[in-house]
This record gives sequence, C-alpha cells and structure tokens, in this order.
Amino acid sequence: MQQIINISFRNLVRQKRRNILLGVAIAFGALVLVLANAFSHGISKVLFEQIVKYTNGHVAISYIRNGNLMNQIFHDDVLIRDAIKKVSPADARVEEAVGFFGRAIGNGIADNVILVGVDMDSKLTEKEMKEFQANFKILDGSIEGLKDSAVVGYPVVLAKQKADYLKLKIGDVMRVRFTGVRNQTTSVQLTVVGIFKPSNVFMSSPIFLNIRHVRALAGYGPHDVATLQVNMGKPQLYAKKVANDIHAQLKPGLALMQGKGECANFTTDMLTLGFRTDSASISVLRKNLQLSSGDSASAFVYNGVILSHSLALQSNWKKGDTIRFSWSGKYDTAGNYARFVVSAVADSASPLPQKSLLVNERDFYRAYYNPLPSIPEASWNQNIPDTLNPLYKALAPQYLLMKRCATTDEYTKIYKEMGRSKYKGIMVSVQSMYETASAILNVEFAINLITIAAGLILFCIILIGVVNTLRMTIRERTREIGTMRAIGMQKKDVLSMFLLETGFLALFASVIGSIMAFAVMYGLSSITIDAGDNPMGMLLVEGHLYFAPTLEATISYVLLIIGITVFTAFFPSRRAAAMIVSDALRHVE
Amino acid sequence: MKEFILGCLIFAGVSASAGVVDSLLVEVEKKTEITSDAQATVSLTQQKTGQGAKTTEMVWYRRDSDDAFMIVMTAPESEKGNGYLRMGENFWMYRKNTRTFQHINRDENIGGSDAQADDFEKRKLTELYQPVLDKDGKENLSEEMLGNIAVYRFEIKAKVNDVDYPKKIFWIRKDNSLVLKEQSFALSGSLMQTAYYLKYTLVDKGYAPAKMMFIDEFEKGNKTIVEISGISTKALDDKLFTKAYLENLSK
Repeated sequence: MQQIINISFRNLVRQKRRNILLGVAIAFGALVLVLANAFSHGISKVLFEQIVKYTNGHVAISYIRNGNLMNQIFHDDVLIRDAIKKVSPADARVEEAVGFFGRAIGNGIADNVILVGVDMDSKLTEKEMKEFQANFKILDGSIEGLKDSAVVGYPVVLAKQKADYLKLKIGDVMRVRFTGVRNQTTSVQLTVVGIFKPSNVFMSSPIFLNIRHVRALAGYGPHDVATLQVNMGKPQLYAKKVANDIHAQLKPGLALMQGKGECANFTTDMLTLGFRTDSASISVLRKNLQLSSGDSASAFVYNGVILSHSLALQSNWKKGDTIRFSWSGKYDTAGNYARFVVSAVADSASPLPQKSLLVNERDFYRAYYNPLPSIPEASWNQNIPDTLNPLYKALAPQYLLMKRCATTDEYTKIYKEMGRSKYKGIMVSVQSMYETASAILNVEFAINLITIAAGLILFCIILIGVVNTLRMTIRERTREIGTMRAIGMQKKDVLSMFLLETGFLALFASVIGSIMAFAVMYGLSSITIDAGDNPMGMLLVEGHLYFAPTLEATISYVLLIIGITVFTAFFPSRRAAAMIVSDALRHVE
Repeated sequence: MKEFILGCLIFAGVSASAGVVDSLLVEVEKKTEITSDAQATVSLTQQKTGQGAKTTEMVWYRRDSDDAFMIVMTAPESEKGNGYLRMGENFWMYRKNTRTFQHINRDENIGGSDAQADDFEKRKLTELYQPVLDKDGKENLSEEMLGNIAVYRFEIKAKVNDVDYPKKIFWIRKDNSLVLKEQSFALSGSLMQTAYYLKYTLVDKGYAPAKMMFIDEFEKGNKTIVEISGISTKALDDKLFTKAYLENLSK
C-alpha cells in the first residue's frame, strides 16, 4: 500500500501546473464554505450574546399580571430567587430586568422612550466590566452619575441620538410620563448625567436609570420583583436544563388568605379563597357546590361571592351582607382589608373548607396581592381540597405556571395566550433564550443551508474539472497503466492509485482553502466599519465583522470536499483499472 | 329638597369636615349613573402637537341587565364598520376588512384612542378614592367660584393601587352636584390631566355629560374633546349584543 501511496503522491507532483489550477479551484470552494459558515455562526453568536442575552438573559423568568403584558410583577421575590439558587450553576448571575415605555419631553420636543434600570450596585467581573464599557461608550458625563442623589429628580444616561433629538445636554432636565407596574400614571423629572455612543441599534432608544430608582418610580415594593434573567457560563450546555429545573421548582398551590372577617357586630377568624371565572371552572363549581341561599346566576359569575355553610351558621351572615375581611401580609405585616358582598351561601354538603369565603378571582386577586398574605396556620389546611378533588381546578392558584416552550413560535403563542387569558392573577413563564429566540438558530441554519447549496453548485462546476482532468490524465497514462498492470499491478491497485491521487489533491487544496478562509476572516474583521444608525450595525462587534469558525465545521467541510472529489473520481478511475493490458500497451496518442 | 339636605351636609362638612367629600362623591355617582339600557353617538376629537386633529365617531350601546356594551365605529373611513363587543368578561374587537373577531387584551387601545379595554370596567369612585385629609384630619374641601358658577372643590386620593391617577381634585356645582372640572395628578404630585365637563344633558332622572374636554397637562398642546349626542334610554333588543349583529352591520 505504501508503494501505491508513493506512486500517487509522485503522480500528483508530476503534473504540477494542471493540479495547481485544479487545487486552486477546490481551495476556493473550501474557502467559501468555511468563511460563510463562520460568518453565519458569528451572526448567531452576536445575536445571542450581544442582543438576546441582554434582552432575555440565558434564562428568563417573566410574569404577566391580570393579562396585562406591561404588568411585569411577581410579589414574592424570595420564592423565585430561591428556586433559581437551588438549580443554577455556581457561576450563574441573576439580574432583574425593569423596563417601561414612556413619553419624554426634552427641550421643547417630545419623543417616546423606554426607561431601563441599570444595576449600579452589583460587582462585575473583568469580562462583564469590559462588556459593560463596550455597551456604554461614554461621550460626555459618566455612568457613575446614576448614583448621584444631588441632581434634580433622578439621574439618567442616554444615547447621543436620543439626546440630540430631545435637544438635551449634560445637566439638562427632562420630564418623563409613564405607566407604572400598578397601572398608575407617573411623572418624573430626570437630569442627564451621561451621554453615550450606542453599541448597537437597540441601545439608542432606551434611557438608563439606576434600577433602584426605576423600581421605586414604577411602584415595585421591597419584595416585588420584575423579570429575572439568569446568565451563566456555557449557556448552550446549561441554559435549557436550568430553565427546566427552575420550572420544576415552581409548584403553585391554592391561594389562601387567613384573616378576620367582620360584619354585623360579629368578628371571626376565617379563610378566603378565590374561584376561577372561566367557563370550565364555573361549570365545575356548578356541579360541585349546592346553594342554600342565593342562586347560581348571581353566585357563579365574575362578581360572585359564596359563603361556606359553617361560616354562615356561626356568624349568621347571609346573602347581601358586606364582610370586611382583613389579613396580615407575608412580608408587610401591617396587612390590609377588603370588602366582599355575599351573593350566595353554600349548603352543608358542599365541599368548601370550614369557615371560608369563596370570592370571584377578580376581587380575590385584587386583595391577594395587596399585600401577599401570610402563610395560613397548619390548622387551616384541613378540608382544603387537594389536587384530586374536582373542585381544585376551579379554585384560584397562587399563580399560574405556563408550560415550557420549544421554539420562538410556541413562545409567541404562549405569550399571546397569557395576554388574552381571563385569568386575573399572575402568570409565570420560564424560558431559555434557545427557545424564545430559536428563530435565530433557524436563521443560522437557513444561512448554512444556502451556503452549502451554493458551495455544492460551485463544487459541481469544479468536479466537472476534476473528471475532465482525470480523464485526460488516464488517457495520457494509458500505456503507463498497461506497463504497471503487465509487471503485476492489480486492478484494485490502479483504482486506489487514482483515487489516492485525487484524494491528496482535495486534502491539500481544502486545507489550504481553510487556512486562506481564516486569513480572509482575520483581514475582514480588522476593518473598522462605522454603521451609524444602520440596523445592520447590530451584527458588528465594536465596529468589526464577527466570525465564529468552529473546528468541527472546518473538519466536516474538509472531509465533505474529499468525499465528493473521491466519489467523482471513482468512475473514471474504475475505467482505467478495467483496461485490458494489451490494449493499454498498444495505445498510441 | 335633596339639594337643601346636601347643602346642609356640606355646610356642616366645611366646618366639621367629617365624611362630606364621601357624600359628595356618592352624589356625583348617583347623578350620572345610568340605570337603564342606553344608546348614544360619541364623537372623539384628538388633537396632538404636530399631528393635527383626528376625529373618531362611534355609536355606543349599553345593556343594563349585565352591563354589556357594543361600540360600532362610524368614522373615520378607515375605522368605519369596525366594532367592539363586551359581554361579561369577554371583550372582542371586530375588524371589518378581515371579517374576524379578535379577543382583545385588557391593555389594548380602543379605536386608536387612548382609551383601553380596562377603562370600561365599571368601578365606583367611592370604591377607588377617599378624601385627602390635612394634618388636622380635616378634608380638603372649599367653596369657590368657577367662572360665575358656585362650586365645591375637594381633593381625593386613591385607596387602591390599580387606578390611573393616585390623586384628583374635583370642582362640582353647588346647585346640582355635577362635575365641572377634574384635575388628575401623578404620584409625584405633577398635574397630568385636566378635564372640563362643558355640557350636560338630562337623561331620564339623571344627567349625562354631553361635551367634555381633556387637556394633557404633561405634553402641552394635546387635548381630546368628547361629544355625546342622541342619547336614548329605550330598551334595546338583546340581538344587538351579539357577534352576528355586529358583523351584519358592516355588510
């Protein structure tokens, strides 16, 4: 075999000019494939790491309250943070994402803005600091100014384009109106302390405030939390698993409020629960609850309130009575109170917990989250319907956990469902960026497919050259083949000789092509591009094209090229091997 | 007689300031409460700085038994035939061009205006607001002249979190308890909106505002004028409050 390899290699070198020309064509094909793959992978990486990571995080735990997409609030930060802590890798970083749409008035001109909170208190690693500085290339003032408490209103940092449009400079005061997390219209004065050059188009429209200030302005309480983003090393390996694990940790139970009820000079300890008012839940309630007073039409509706038989018996409260229900909070011990007008009384056969009031979900959640009640004492857990009880599904949960999704389309569908849902409580969604932004992976896949298709067309043209060259070579070497066969070379050795010769050519050419591709990448990424406001600028990293070649992809392309070339060479080589020795020896050009 | 009793209450309130504002709020609600089916034509003229004026017209139907309502857009041409239907907790938007009904979110805008689906939820002023008390525990209530009309001026603050504005000031007529002016404030204390109730019309035993002007105090130059005409309180046919009826209207 060694001898065949030597002969093949010698033949390759023997016809230098022809093989070099053919090699250049193959090398060019390899260059195009490797370069295009590195570029598409680079785009995907930039979109994920520069855009999706900042807008979504590797894993995002987001919420919608009362079907309002702008109500990004959960009232128990400890619960969510504990779930994240239990399952995230040690290097995971949890960040809160707070943002609100608003209307800003600068010096005589108004514009729409997004108020975004920046965490000024967390310690950053060297890498994170570098990323932070790359995103905020300060032109005037400083980002540290966001900690300044001596300014008018609150300090703000904004992009140069936005500052120019609103005719603002350092020290100027702008006014912003926005609707906070509790749907209240808020107006605030902001002093410009920094102006920066945005690193991409997404950085030019938000205005950045200290997250502590945005939280306070938007109406978040100390234990309220906005969307939490979990970022980690090697997200491609861990993000989906972490999202699955956090999702598994969150197990919403029934929403229960233990408190005191007062009405008609009678005060008692009692339990308040909520009931869902969608048609399926109402039908469950109708089937399982019988009323001793009041009718279904006024009880099982969006504003119904049903008193349990035991509580009605003890208190003498009846239909039409207004119960003042007060409770203490889980975190806010001062608590609050709400008034509920009884629309019906359940009979003794109805499986309602002892001394309880069942309130429609609209009025129930208004109370339940304001503030979140303390956990009921164990004694109240008796008679609470368990998950096997048919009534369970019709009762209001602490929150609704949305199912995990696999693609951007599924995520969009879930998000729309959350918006359209009649559920009045908080819906929680846990997704990783590989699901919410799977469309980016699809784009990368599509670019790769286009590249491979274009590369294969190119190779078809090159391979016609390979076949043609080989046919010429075989024709020129016919007598040589005859001589070698006459002195004992077998048919399969002739076949191997030609295949090895083509294989060597493809190997050297594709390796050289790949090296050239790396050189071109280096050259192209050294050029500084000023994209200005062009949205395509988001594909640049610090003004440079970004390529992300992978060893696996490069090796695969080299093997693919060798495979195709050898396969193409097989048929003319087989013909050469099958020649009759005497005919070959008699061959005259 | 009612006005006399209210006057006495308020007189006592100004001096003793105990629950007078609450009773005024109740009176305001009573005066303008609709307790029957209703139909009206609503014209909404929005003027925004640098954008000129945009007028939207619609016919509004309300059923008293379940507080259902339907809105059918009649102008501008681009909106004509579109509509909204709310029954119980369901709120649909009908698009004439596609002949489709879409379940709309509670935070979605109606007919390109600033009104949201959520705004149509009926909640009483007295459930949402309470009087502002000064350091001595007295209500912020005074008697003033608004132009040449004698009014009561009082301040109220939100007692729940989910209201648009946490503080409001009302000017109501002394003689008939109708609101003439209303100012809405942000939590920071900034004046955000002033509403003027320019005209009322008598409907059955109560009143309905016939012309209102909402001035955006944050972005000067923006204002919305709402005119309500052709108010009728005749009983409405149940078939009106159906998807089929809304769809047929635009055929």
